[in-house]
Amino acid sequence: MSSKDDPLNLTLTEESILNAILFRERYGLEIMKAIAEASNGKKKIGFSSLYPNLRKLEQKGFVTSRWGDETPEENTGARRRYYQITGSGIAAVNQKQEYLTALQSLTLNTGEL
Amino acid sequence: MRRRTSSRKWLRLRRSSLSLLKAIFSAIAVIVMLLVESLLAEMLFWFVTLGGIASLLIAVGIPQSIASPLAIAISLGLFIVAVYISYAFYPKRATRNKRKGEVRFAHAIAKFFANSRSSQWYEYQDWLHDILLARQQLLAEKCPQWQVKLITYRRLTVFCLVVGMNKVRRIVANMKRSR
Repeated sequence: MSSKDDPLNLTLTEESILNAILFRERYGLEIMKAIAEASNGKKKIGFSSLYPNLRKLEQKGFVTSRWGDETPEENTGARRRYYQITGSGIAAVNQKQEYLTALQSLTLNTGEL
Repeated sequence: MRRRTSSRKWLRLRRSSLSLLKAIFSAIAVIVMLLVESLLAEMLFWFVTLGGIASLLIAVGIPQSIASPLAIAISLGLFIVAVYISYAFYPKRATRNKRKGEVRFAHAIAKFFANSRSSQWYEYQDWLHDILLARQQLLAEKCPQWQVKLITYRRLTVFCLVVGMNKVRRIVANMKRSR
């Protein structure tokens, strides 16, 4: 595993995306809305950040996608795509969470000294 | 009598020359459109353009470290011009009255990427789909139309830039690999 693929090197945006699709598959706009809603509008991801990040996560194997069954957009013929977290994606999220928890408890212990 | 016949002849001559000019211009337009549709969109064209510009700049005497990014910038500019030309020509066919403004622009972008049979279209068409979906949602929320227009144009421009840069980056990577 290269350092780029290391779960501990996930950026906040990548982590947010993975958490947004942790329990159900979502399409791009849904992911953006979920992140904005969960942060009460404080954290927003733009289109130009979301899709390249989704491609990166797909390349890393943390996310898979499937084309939606809906009819394509009438003016462009573009189709909707649903994103789903993979097993290694879930493992990456858990690993990052474990690291943060360990770090928090470590700070607490150091504070006691 | 003579004056009348001469004026009629003049009118005929003018009409025929006008129709000839029209035919020439439409032929030029068709050639330009064909260029945009096929050659300009093809991977090979980008490869040759980028390589050609870079070697030209190096031949002129510009150092390689400057020539390569400059060639990328120029080809990116060419790409934007190509999208603009296709935007200007496509709506004049069957869709003149159907699509307007930003939707017309989105249609032209989709047509450009789909025609070029690029992997970019396969990879990023959901982005374009969601831009138009967000536009519909904003309109449904009674957001001012000028604002929706502005937002959608900005998003579409960023889409073009990101996908275009991605394309250029891949071509550069392929060039490096082929060396």
